[in-house]
Amino acid sequence: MDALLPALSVRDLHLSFGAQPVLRGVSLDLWPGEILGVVGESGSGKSTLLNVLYGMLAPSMGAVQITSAEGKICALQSLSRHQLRQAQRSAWGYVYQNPRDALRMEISAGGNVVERLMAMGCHHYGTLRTEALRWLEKVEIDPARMDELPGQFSGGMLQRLQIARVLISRPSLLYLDEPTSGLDVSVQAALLDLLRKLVVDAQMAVVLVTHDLAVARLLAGRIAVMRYGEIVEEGLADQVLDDPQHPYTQLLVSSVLPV
Amino acid sequence: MTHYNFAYLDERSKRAIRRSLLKAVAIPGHQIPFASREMPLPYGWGTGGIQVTASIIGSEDVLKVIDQGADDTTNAVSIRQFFESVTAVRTTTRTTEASIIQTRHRIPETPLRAGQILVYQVPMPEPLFKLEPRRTETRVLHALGDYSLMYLQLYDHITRYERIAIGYDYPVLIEGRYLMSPSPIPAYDVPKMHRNPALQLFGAGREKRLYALPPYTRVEPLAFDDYPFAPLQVDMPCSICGATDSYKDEIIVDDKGKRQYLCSDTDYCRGRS
Amino acid sequence: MNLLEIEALHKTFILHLRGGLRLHALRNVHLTLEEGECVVITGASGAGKSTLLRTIYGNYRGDGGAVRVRAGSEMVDMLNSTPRRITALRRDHMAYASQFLRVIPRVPTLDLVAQVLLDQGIDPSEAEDRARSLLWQLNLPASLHALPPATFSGGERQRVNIARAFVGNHPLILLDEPTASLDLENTMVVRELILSAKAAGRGILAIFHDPDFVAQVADRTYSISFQAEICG
Repeated sequence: MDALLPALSVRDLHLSFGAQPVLRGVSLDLWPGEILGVVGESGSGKSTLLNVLYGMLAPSMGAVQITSAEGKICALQSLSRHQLRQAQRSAWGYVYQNPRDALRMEISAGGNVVERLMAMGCHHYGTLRTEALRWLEKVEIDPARMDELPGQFSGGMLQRLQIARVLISRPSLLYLDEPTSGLDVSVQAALLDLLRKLVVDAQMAVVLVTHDLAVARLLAGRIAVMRYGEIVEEGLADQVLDDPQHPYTQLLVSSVLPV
Repeated sequence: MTHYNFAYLDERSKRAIRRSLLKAVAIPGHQIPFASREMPLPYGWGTGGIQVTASIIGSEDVLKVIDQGADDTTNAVSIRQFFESVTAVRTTTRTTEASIIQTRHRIPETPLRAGQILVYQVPMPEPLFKLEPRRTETRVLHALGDYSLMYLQLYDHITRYERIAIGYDYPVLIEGRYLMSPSPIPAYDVPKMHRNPALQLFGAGREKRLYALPPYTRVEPLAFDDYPFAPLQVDMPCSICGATDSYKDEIIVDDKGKRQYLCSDTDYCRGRS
Repeated sequence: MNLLEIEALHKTFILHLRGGLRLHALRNVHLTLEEGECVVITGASGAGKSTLLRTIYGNYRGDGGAVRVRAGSEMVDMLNSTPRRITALRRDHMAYASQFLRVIPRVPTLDLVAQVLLDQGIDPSEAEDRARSLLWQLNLPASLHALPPATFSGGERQRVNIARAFVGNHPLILLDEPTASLDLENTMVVRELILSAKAAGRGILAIFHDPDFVAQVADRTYSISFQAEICG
């Protein structure tokens, strides 16, 4: 196999909220071009894990190591606030479950899309406009709507807008927190298909948190199953779903309502 | 006649404010909190500017006070008379004669000299306030030099109005580092701030912050590479003195909408006519 | 050269939801497959034929023994490989057509097939051309290429599956009842594909329900007798 370092290397993460343990020794590796689906039910700690990986929460124990696209290795805990913020605005991306948490509703759709570029130092209006158009097209939003305020958009469109806004900086690490929850089923399908294409094209390392096994099967190459703050099973996505070994995984897989 | 300390504030308060001013001068454009004192007029009427002036004024100073460029509006007159009564310092309407000029919302047309001090009254010191009202957030943004929020606003301006249509309180970048509100002076006045030989001090009493620009500081209005700073010009001549290079007040003189344009800076106008 | 070596493979399903019931699905499987060979797995229904294919592919996890798949000059042990290694193996060295096509919504048939080549790094227009011609060969007309298979008949979906398994020129191809829903004409197309693949030095391990068909394509058969022992 190639000697590539993992883009993300997590060792023995622990975190408690007060007396309540939320992460109990989570470890994983993620390589560029991989999509890791983290599945579990509410309270499993999967969203908390995402927050820790993105630098929004500090673990009480454990280490997170990130290797940039250029091969630079750094420990997440050692990053200064400035470096963290910069990374969060360019090299890393985070897609929130509710797009309204990420979008600026008082700024036009086009403005929302190019914010990262401005933060990275692009101050040329013409260039920003061209990029905004390009990305709106990529996420299949009618470019004629680029000057509208996001308040006029449907839920599915808002989520696509959020994805454009995050991917425009070509992050090498992407975190998705239940990106299709709350969307209509037909809209979900379209969004997942879009995500798949964009992610594969760009060779990103992706952590996808979802409680929906179908979403995990569709997008993920590997799956980690979380329960009570621990990863109970991890492996090839189709293997975990078709030949689950751990009792909890078997329960999860068998509980899915058939269509 | 007066039972007050010189310049109304006690010496300790003046020293505290001067210490904050020193910090402000050391970090141009950066907002420094200060303990705003209770003044004999409410917030929103210039208490910040008055406290800054009170902290720096000495018996040898000559004070000019203007409001929207005029020495004779109610506020300018009140503040000038206040200082006359608590300091017995000489006051003037002539920009060239003043050592301290306290201003609300204008910079005098007459160029300032080294040794002069311009004190601005500032309602909202935070340039990002309209986009991000949380002080906790804006502090982080200033610390990181992350002003994409403001660029976003400019972007939407160009989208909506085909130009950056900010008429007053135009955001400026100080020495390439801090984003600053120049106070609600017209965009027209912003170029006067750049490398001005005078010391410029800014006081916001209600918000309890002050900031400063030492002489010859680099002040650049925020703009896009392809949409540079271009404030609206006022070419109409003044009806009194004929000047075409000053900022004008527009006065509607009859019911039919007939207009007259007068220099907003009364001292400049008088000096020319 | 061997493309596939299986030694003493066994697999047991432990059904935790049924009190830990153990299902011994595979016991002591020994099998090798060489370049240019087609080996057909035979045995009664439920004997474990599909399970064997899935275990070789990594879809099921083998519990003991070895499954080695050729990747260039080395033999990769499937039972001890990381997910990353297996993914790479599937991309370049081992293809699999299951009985059912798992339908991805919204993705057109042509893209589904071309994706196999895109993953291998093939130029997009060449990938499309090769995908298209294989679909034609399988009697899936151009009118269907732009449609997702969700609305296709069982036979049509199966042919899409077959296209995905053959388009990438994988040295090892695993086929699970590929002709079950096909008419005679399309069954013949599959025969042609298998024979061409063999001639090109690729190896095929397959399950067929039709003994006549087996006689036409197989070089050997491997028999699984009913091994699934249930232990409480």
